[in-house]
Amino acid sequence: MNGVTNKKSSRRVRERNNLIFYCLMLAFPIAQFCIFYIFVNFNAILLAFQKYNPDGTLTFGTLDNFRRLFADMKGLQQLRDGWGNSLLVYVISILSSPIGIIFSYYIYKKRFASNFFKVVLFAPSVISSVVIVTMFQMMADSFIPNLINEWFHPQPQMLGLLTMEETIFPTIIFYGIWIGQGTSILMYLGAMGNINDSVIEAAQIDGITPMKEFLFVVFPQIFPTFSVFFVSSLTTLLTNQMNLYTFYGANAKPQYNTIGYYMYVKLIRSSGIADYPYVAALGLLITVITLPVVLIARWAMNKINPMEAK
Amino acid sequence: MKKQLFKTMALALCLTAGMSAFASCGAVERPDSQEEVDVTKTQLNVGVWEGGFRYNWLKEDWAKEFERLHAETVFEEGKKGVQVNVTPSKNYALENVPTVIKGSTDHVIISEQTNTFGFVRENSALDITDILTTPLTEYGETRSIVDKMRETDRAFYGGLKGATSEADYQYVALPWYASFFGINYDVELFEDNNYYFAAEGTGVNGFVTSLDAPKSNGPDGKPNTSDDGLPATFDDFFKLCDKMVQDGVTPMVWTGAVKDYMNYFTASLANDVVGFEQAQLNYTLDGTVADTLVESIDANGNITYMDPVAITNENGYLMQKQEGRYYAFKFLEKLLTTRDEKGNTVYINEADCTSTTGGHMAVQTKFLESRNKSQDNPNVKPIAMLAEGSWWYNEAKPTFDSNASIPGMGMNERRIGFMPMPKPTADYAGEATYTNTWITNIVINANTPASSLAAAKQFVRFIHTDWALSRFTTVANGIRPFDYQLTEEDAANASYFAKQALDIYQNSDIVNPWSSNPLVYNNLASFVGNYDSKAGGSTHTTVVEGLASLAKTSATPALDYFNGLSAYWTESNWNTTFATYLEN
Repeated sequence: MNGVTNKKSSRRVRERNNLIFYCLMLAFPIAQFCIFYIFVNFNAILLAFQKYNPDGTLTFGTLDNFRRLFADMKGLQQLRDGWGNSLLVYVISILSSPIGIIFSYYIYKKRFASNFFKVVLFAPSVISSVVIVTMFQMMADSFIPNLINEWFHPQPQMLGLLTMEETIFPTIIFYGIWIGQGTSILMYLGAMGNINDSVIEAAQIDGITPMKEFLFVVFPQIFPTFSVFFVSSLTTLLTNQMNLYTFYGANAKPQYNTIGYYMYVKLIRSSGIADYPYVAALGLLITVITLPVVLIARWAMNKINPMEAK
Repeated sequence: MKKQLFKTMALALCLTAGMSAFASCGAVERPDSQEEVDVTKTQLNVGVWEGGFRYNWLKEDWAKEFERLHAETVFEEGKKGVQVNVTPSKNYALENVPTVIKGSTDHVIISEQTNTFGFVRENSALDITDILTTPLTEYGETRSIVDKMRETDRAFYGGLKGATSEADYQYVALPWYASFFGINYDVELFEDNNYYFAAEGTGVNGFVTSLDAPKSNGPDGKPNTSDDGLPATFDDFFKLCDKMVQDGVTPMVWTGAVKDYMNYFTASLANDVVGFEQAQLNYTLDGTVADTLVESIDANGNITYMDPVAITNENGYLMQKQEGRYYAFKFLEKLLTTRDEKGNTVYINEADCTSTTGGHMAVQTKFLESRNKSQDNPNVKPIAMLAEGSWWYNEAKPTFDSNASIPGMGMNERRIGFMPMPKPTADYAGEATYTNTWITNIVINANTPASSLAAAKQFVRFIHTDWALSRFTTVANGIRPFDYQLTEEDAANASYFAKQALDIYQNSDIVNPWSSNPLVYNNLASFVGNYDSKAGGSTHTTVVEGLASLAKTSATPALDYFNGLSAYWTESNWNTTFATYLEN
């Protein structure tokens, strides 16, 4: 009897110790979540309805920031074109996602030099973005024009791809697509690696072609990953700054601004933090627009998920 | 066993995360403080922006001399003397400095590109009015620090707490260096090629034939001054450029990577055209603007002026019509759009001036090395002028050092001068007006412990003695915005650039593109180097790119850009943007 009581008591002590241990372990991340997520976001929402007074104090209860924002949306090219540019960047990133899926499939099938491509395509994602951007700038604004000027002697001489008005936007878009492939390839490859070999073998015994294998076996199996990419990139629809700051600092041409870039530049150039409430208002507006879009997209992706349909 | 393993792993992760958190809350890293702490001395920590000026002047000159002079001073009970620990930091620039210093253990902080009002708002810097207004008698001087400051600096740094009269000024900060922007020129190249204008009725094609020949009066219109022989008007400037092009010299270069720079250049040029008093109104929005506001400009460039207007916060948008802007755009238009028969720019190397690669230091190197390299390589052209700020010379120290073995290429051997801006026409001849680029600050951290406070205050006083000011100019090739001259010893050792820049500072008007007007200091990005313009169906934010873009479709890009300023800053936009600061 005593033995049973002792066993129970030592189990209770162990459970209590475990509880203390896990509480302590979780305390730090929970505190971090409360401060850096809940408090920060709540404060940002409040800020949208505040204004800085000339003496640096804050006054609550104003819609001035939204009035100015809507006026700017009519008159300011950065904001006016920014919506279109942001949307365009998203559409292009979605349209370019098949490239990542197809490359992943190629590597998954272990075709010629697949490991080499895996390393080469993923390298830009692990190297510091500043290094990659500098290399890309050197290539686009120095190497390519120098090469063309040297070989073909165009007159007037060709300037950099990131300098000439007509090539800036395509070059930035190209960079975005190229740099975005590394992560998507890694994710899709991981998803493809989880496909049961016997499913593929069964399809092959039935005489399936590689194209049909990709479309009707592999893609449905990686659909959840595709869905995550699709939905998560929607969340950054209006905050994506298209690497403009990395290339041009705070002075990218207004006609190429995205909303994300405009918001970022507005913040860092806000020399007296007087613009913080204005930026908070823009952030809130972005959330109001993006949230339903993301939720609908998530619902739609769940609906059309071929694996769920089964 | 398995459970135990995961528990151990979880514990290790928690410890790692915790350590990272504590590390980030701790003291600012002190990479350069290699000296052992002498516990018998008061410890004074000085943090400085780790930028182009570096910090050898602070560590080797200011700190060492301060320690020597105060070896016997008791700054805190039980200790004698002071040990100055210098820390260069990338944290001490831009807008976060007033917040960042709250977590710093540095007592004196030297920073740049930070809005001084931030220190007032965050209450992160001590009020130092007393140490600024007391004469520096302990160092054998009769003037106080405030006595050495310019009126505009006193009004700004002293007026941020709302004081409007000098007697009430309260200071939390001091300026670190003058940051005027303009044209730097290779004096040796100018001398070797006689690129100076001859006195009227002498010379060949308007230029001197030898350095001894009498020179023209220069932009100030006065004989026997430092600008003699330099281009007085825009026409002179481009005549000089044409001569350079004929000689196979590239007249001018600037960095395309830092897009703001040529906006600062525009501000310097525009303010020089209208002069100090009228230029300052752009940033104080308080006073009567004379006949410098443009009503209209006809096809031939003739200007009709508005009647004088009293400028206030309510009608500040009218300053966009100031003629200086138009003339600055005209100047840049010609520099940018004059092309040869093949369509290539004549006065600048367009690739250098537009490329996003390399950055400003690469262009400095190109400018400095071009003359020497052109002697061996026919594909390299010497470059005569560089558009840069008054801080660039020390920034280019690595280039000077790497060329030091070449005779005449060392930092103190080269002769690079600062050229006064040419005027639109001879009618505008007069003293040059320069324009600062950004705000700099020296503050005492509000969290300085009592044990180091006396030393911190004394240090701030010391670094404004004539000796310390002179050393900064000699060692860092920069200008402290105070009234001082080089000591005899420093005058013998300082670079040509430093001496000339100091001469300019001491004898010219310098515009601060900021003021203690809350509308301005809370919205600096709308005033300092801001040339937002709506023209040709687009908004333009950088003058050079805007003019180049407009030139593709318009015969009058400068005029379009100028009119676009008022199209951008309409009364309605002004009222919406600055509603908080307007009376109605």
